[in-house]
Amino acid sequence: MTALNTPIAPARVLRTIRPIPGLDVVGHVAVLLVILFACLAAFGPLIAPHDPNAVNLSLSYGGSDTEHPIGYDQQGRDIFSRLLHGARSSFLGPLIIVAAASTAGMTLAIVGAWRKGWIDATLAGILDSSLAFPGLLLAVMVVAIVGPGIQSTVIALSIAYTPYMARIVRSAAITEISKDYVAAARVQGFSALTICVRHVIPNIMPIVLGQAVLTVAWATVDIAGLSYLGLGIQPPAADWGIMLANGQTGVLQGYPMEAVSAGLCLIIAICSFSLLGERISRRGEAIAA
Amino acid sequence: MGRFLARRIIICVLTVAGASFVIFASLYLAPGDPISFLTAGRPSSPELRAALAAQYHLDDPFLHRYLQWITDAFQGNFGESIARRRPVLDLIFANLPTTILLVIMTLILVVVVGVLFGGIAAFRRGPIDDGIMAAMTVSLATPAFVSSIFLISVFAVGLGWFPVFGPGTDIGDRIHHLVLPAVALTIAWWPVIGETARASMREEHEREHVETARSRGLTPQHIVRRHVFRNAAIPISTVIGLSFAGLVAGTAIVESAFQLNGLGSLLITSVTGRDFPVAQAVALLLVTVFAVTNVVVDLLYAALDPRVQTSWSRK
Amino acid sequence: MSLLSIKDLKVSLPVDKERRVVLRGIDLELEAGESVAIVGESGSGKSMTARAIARLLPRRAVVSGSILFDGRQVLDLKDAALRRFQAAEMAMIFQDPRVHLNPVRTIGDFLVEGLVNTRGSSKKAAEHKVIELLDEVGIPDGTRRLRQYPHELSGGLLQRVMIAAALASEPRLLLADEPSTALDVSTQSDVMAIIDDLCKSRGMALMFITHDLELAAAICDRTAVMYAGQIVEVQGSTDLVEHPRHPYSAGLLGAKPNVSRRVQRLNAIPGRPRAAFEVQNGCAFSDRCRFASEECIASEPTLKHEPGGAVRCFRADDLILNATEGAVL
Repeated sequence: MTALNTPIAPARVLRTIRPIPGLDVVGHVAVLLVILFACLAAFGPLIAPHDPNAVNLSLSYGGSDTEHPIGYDQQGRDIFSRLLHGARSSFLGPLIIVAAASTAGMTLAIVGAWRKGWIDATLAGILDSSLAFPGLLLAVMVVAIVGPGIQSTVIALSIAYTPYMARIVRSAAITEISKDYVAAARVQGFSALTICVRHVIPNIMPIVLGQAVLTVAWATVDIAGLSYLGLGIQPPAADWGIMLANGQTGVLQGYPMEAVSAGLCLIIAICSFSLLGERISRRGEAIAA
Repeated sequence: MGRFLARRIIICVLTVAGASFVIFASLYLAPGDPISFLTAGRPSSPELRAALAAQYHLDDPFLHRYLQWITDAFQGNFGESIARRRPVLDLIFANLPTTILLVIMTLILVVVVGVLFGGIAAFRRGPIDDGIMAAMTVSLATPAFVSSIFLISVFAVGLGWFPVFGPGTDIGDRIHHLVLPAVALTIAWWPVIGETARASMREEHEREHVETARSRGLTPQHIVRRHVFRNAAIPISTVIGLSFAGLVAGTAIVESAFQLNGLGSLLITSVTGRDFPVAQAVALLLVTVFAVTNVVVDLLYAALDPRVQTSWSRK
Repeated sequence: MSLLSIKDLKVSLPVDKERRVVLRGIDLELEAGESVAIVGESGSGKSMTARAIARLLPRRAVVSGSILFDGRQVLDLKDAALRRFQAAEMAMIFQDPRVHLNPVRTIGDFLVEGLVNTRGSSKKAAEHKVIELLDEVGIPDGTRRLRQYPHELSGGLLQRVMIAAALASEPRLLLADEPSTALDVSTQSDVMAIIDDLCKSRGMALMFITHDLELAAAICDRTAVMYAGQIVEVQGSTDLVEHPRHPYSAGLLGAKPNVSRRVQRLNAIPGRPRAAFEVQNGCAFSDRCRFASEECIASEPTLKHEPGGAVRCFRADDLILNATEGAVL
């Protein structure tokens, strides 16, 4: 009762935040940045001070002022607002890709690791040969058929990232399934599904999570790249990849602010996701071993 | 050895066959009938429609069509570009030199920079190692199209050392035009080689056989060259082979960023311009290159590691 | 003058930001052509002693004391002089030849590498010489072996290759770090016999590191027993096996319970071996020694020299130790 009546002081909230044990300083910075980008993706469009698509050609390449901290792009749109809106479109695609690739990859890998034999052998063969085929190229081919747009690129990249996820999960699952407790549970008559869902999957989850966070980083690169090439998200949407493509014209005319700011956003985001993903993976491998 | 090689080549052929089938069949996955898809809403004369029907053997059964198409393709007949009304093969030949030169320049840069800094990081623990590791993380997180734009901004527009766009004319000029694109790709790919070089050299240097070499009074230079680097060359060259495909795919992005007439930019313009025969041909070509690369990587692995040769000849 | 004279050798290694002592003062002499065994449990510092002599300690190891080889201070050697010492004066054989040979280079490369690079002999002359050496260590078809890779040979053959490589530089001191431990039981004795024969016939001094006291006694003139980074006893090998002076040596000899006498306690050493860095005051062995007195727990004994050897025990003169019948006060 008292808890409900006591107003939550900011200082109290802050005090509940503690360093994560076993994580280094860089890891903590990465966690904070990932949280920041997640907030931007969720609330960016709400806190953006201006309409990202309000064109004002008289302000083309205008410099920064108090209300427009980064200035204006070629069409006189507020770069800062466009960056905030861009966060959502830059992360939404990768998030769907990661969810799809993780689910599909995990299912394939665990079925293969559990059933062994020809199913696993065929699966391993397909996974190995598909790794030689860059996801970017697959996405380009899908766009060639279905036409440009975020849906086609997300579907293509979900397929392209499935083998990467499956490969990592497969080796972890094989080690986990060979452990004694699985044999013991089998002898006791637990079904394969129960053992996998209750024991195997939770135990390899840190590895899956690490790989998933890394995949966010690489999928962000790919989606932004495809949008930059005009194959992904289509203008005039505010997206970091599109801002880079638009900004390239500005660069040539000596106004690099749009391209530079969108580029830096991408680099920092990818850096934080890959640093965090690496650390989770390492921790997961240590736990599994 | 021979049997292993034969198996690898069969897998390679199967991969190309499978991928080519997917590339071929993808035309029929597209919404609408193939002819309207191929013409993509352009005004089309009855002659063009007839030519397309003949080129794609649209009146034949499906499998027969595929066999025709793949036979034509391996005889160098990829049909005609719909957008440019030129044989696809001519377009590929016109665009091939830029891509090959770009890939060679990038490979040299990536290997030299990656092995050099990876090696320095492996042996210089402390701030130098930390610095190189941080550089690798940031560099790896910088997509090639972002670094392309940054490089254009600084070295082409700002300092004026390099041209902004285009492929150049004679060979020297071409190389000059390709420096910034190659650097942009190198920024994205050297950390891949660098991390492997660092990890494998460090691991090899702590191996027991290096202790043996030290106990025999051999010089550190000799040990690094003949034992550490020689052994680390195995994982390093494997990673170079594995990143080759990604690197070639990456040329599509930098070629577009620098408006070079390469194979990658040809693929992108044909996709955005809905020029399907060209996209099909380039994709088939790239898949073949990747599959062959895989075989080459295996051969390289065997050439460098005697243990693999033995296990192959036993099989 | 001794060929090798070690005085108060102390070594510590960095482990997770702190320093761990691994050797707490080793004193040992080795005459030219003599063989001495260093016996101890794993972690006692016996391998570290050999590596200190060969100057193979990790770079951040802190070393003090003195190692004189033929009057020269080994610990002060640097760069080219150090490499000359390693290449010409000593050779080392390691426990597991399968990991101590570079897997991607041929046996021939390995064998001639030292001669070609540190002696400046031609490749041809070096190959001629190592084929003869292979014959001496019991590998007759040397020419064929030179072209093979380590994974194509058995562990026993590889250890013979290591011995041949050690002999190639004609060293005066051979350091053998458990050279037979990692091999099949059937080849262990062959390898030990080859080392024994070759050292004797060539007048090479041998420092043989092992955990097997009986084997040490069979091969070496003298035996030193190590515990927690110190030598606790040195004696002629036969004397040590028959009349151990230190309770730990007696314990190592595997004193067995004797049914004819009513012994309440087993003679197997209780507790676990102490690491050098764990030792505080008193004798390092005191917590496992059933003869330990208050003095043993309060202060640390020194290595007392006596005729025929040395022992580090306050109670050495009170005890009559017998390896087979248990200890008698």
